[in-house]
Amino acid sequence: MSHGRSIMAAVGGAALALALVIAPATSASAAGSKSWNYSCSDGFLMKSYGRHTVGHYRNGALIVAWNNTVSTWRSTTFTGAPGTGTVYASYALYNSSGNCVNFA
Amino acid sequence: MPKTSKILRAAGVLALVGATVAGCAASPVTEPTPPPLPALSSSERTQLYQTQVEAARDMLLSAHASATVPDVELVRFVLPSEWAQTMVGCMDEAGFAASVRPDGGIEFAPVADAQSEALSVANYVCGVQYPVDPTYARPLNDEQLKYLYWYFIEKLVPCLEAEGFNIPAPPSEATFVDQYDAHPWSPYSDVATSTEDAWIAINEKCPQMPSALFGQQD
Repeated sequence: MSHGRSIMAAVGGAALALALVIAPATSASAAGSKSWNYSCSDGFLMKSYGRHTVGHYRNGALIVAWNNTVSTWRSTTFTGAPGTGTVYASYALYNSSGNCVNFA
Repeated sequence: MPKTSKILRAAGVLALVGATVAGCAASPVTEPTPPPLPALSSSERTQLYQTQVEAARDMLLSAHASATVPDVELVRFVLPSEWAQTMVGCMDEAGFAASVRPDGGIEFAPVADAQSEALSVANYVCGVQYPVDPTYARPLNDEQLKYLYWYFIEKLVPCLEAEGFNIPAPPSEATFVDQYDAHPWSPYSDVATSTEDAWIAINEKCPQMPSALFGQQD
């Protein structure tokens, strides 16, 4: 099945342009937070791998929240204007990423 | 024949049949019994709840350093499966529109910049009023971790690979268990999709967690 492969290729292509448009913003760990300043033509994909309450914020406003009883990968896509994406996790943020993605 | 001998003989036959079946089956590893949910004393539950409250408070202040953290009392503990719907109802009562996502999260309707702190405070209040039962919030024990590892290796990895994703070589079970608290490994770590819909779809087809991780209670 090629569905997954084509998606991964799209992300990979977007990641190439990422270095030009994404600037790392403030970064912290421990309790768990990470931010990215982004400027993407289509969308900004933010992922987190955290435990317990996890919130994905855009420009300081809470957009999505989860309660991960067990560490779980979560994903949010922001569209539109440039901005700042931030992940906060109440107990632990083990991993996170931010990438531009193309919808085409 | 003594009763004990009959039992042992029957067990031997079953083991032989099981080994034969396993040898012919696609998956050579028998599904383990989901571990029961460990009991939690009242004092342990209270202590863990207090830790959850403090963590939620810290998270609120990380996002909004000048926020006033209100005093909030527990209304009731909720199951993981009812958390999202309960939170949506609570947020609605607080005046903020929200909806349940297919992945178990809650999505908030956009608010004006001036309302973003109030939204986060309301989310804190609802989370403290209706927290997930701390029974489900403790670190996984070894039995649960071994069950999770079995699910990852025997179910999740093949499912993701069948969908075209390349999954890196997994750690050994011993390494997985030993390092889970500090560096939890997941087959999903390298799974990327370019759209939200694709992410939701793969998560529904290949769930990140086994439904029986906490016994059959969730």
